[in-house]
Amino acid sequence: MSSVGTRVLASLAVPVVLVALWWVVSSGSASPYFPPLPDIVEGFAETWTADRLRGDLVPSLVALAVGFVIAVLVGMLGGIVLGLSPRLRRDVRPLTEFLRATPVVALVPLGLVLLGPGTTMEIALIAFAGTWPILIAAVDGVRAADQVALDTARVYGLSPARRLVQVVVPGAMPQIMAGVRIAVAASVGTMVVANMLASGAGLGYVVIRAQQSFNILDTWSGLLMIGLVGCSVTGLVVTVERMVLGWHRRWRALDQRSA
Amino acid sequence: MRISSPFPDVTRRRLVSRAEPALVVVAVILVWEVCTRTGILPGQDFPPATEIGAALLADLRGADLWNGIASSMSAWALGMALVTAVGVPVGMLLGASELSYRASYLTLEFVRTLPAIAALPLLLFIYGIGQQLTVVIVVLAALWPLLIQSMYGMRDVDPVAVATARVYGIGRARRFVLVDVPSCLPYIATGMRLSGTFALIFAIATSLIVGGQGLGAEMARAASIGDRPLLYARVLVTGLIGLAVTAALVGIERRALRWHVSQREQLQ
Repeated sequence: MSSVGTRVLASLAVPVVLVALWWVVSSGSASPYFPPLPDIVEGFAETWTADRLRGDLVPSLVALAVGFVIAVLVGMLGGIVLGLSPRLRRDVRPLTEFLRATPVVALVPLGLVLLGPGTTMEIALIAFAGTWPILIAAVDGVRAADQVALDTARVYGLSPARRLVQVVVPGAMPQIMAGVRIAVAASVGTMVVANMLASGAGLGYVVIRAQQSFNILDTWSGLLMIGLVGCSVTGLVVTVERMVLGWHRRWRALDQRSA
Repeated sequence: MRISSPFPDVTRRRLVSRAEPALVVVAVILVWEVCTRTGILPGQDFPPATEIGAALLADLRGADLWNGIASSMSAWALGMALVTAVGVPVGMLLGASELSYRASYLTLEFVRTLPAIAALPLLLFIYGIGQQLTVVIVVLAALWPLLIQSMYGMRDVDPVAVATARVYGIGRARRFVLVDVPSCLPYIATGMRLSGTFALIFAIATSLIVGGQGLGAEMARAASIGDRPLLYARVLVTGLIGLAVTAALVGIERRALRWHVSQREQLQ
C-alpha cells in the first residue's frame, strides 16, 4: 500500500511542479498572449458559469460519450469478427487499410455536408474516429489468442460460442484496452475540430469564438477546460482498464511470485 | 496430379488471395455507382463514382490541389524533422534513469491524449495564418508518441547486454552507440509511425479550420462552393496520401523490427 502511495506521489510531483512553475513565472508576465496563471484561473471561474456549463460543456460530453460507446461497440464487434475470419480479413483489407489511414479530419467537411451541423454529425465523427484504433487492436488481440488455452477449452468440450466469450475475448482485452486509449485521443481531437468548424456550441466552439473576438483570457479558459476534459476521460479509461484487466495483472503478479 | 505439379495450385491460391480483395474494391465502387444512379442514395449528397472520378481527374490537372498537397506535406516534413530532433533525445534521456522515468511517464501519458488542436486559437494570436502555425501545431501534436516510445526504448535495454559491455570495459559513450541506440531503434520506428500519422492529421486539420494554403483548405473550399464531386475527390486524395504515408512508415518500422527480431533469435 505504501509503495502504491509513493508511486502516486512520484508521478504527481512533476505536474504539480510544472503548474507551480507556470504560476510563478507567469505571475509577472506582461505578454498579451501569456497572461498570468492567477488571472487565467480567475477568468476560468468567470467564464464557466452554470449556463455555459449547460450550454457548451454538457452537449460536448454527451456527444463524446455516445460517440465513444458506439466506437467501442463497433470496433470490438468488427475486430472480433475480422480477427476470427482470415478470409474476410484479407478480402476487406483494402477498405479497412484505406479507412484507417484516412486522416479522420478529412471526413469533417464530408460529415458537415451530409449530416449538417449539429449533434448527429458530431456523434458520427467521434464514433468514426474512435472505431479504427479499437478495431485494429481487437483484430490483433483475437489473432494472438492463447492457443493452449483454446485447445484446453476445446478438449473440455466448450462450445465455440463459450470459447469465444470465455477464452478469446478476455485474452484480447489487454490489446483492446490499449486501442481504447488511443481512441480517446482521436475522439476528443475530432470533437474539438468538428466544434471549431461547424457547431454553434461546444468546447471547440468556445475557444474559436473567443479567438475571433480577440478575448485571450476566454481562449485560455476554454483551452483549460478542454485539457481538464481530456485528462478526466483518460483517467476514466485508465480506471476501467484497471478493473477490466484486474484478473490479468493479478494473474501476472501471482505468476511472478511463484516463479 | 497434386504430387507431380504442386505449383499450379499454389499460384492459383496466390492469385485468389490477390483477386478477392481487388474484387471487393471493384464491387464497392459498382454498388456505389448503382445506388447513386438509381437514387437509393440521394444524388445531391452522394455523387456517382464516375462523377467523382471525373472531378478527380480534372482536379489533378489543375494547380490548386497540388499547391495544397505541397503546402501540407512540407509542413508535415518540417514538423516531423523537429519532432524527431527533440523527441528522440529527450525521450531517451528521460528513460535513461529510473527516477526520471517514474516521475514523468504518467504526466506524459496524460499529455499525449490532450488535443493539441485546441491550442490552435491561441497560436493563431501569436503566429497568424501561415506555414509557421501549421508546423507549430504539428510539433505539439506529434511530439508525444515518439518521445514516449523513445523513453520506453531506453527502459527496455537488455541489462545483460549492458553488463556484458561493461565487463568488456566499453565506456559510456561507446556503450550508448553500441547498446542503447540499437535497442531503442525499434521503439523509435514505432514512435515515428504513430507520430507521422498524427502529424498528417493535424497538418490537414489546421488548414481546414483556419484556411490559407493546404489540403484541408482545399477541402473546405470544395465544400463551401457546394461542389460535391470535387469534395469527395479531395477527401479521396487525402485518404490516399494517408495510405501512402502510413505504408512508408510501416515499411520503416518493419525493417527496424525485422532487425530486432533476428537479433533476438541470434541471442537465443
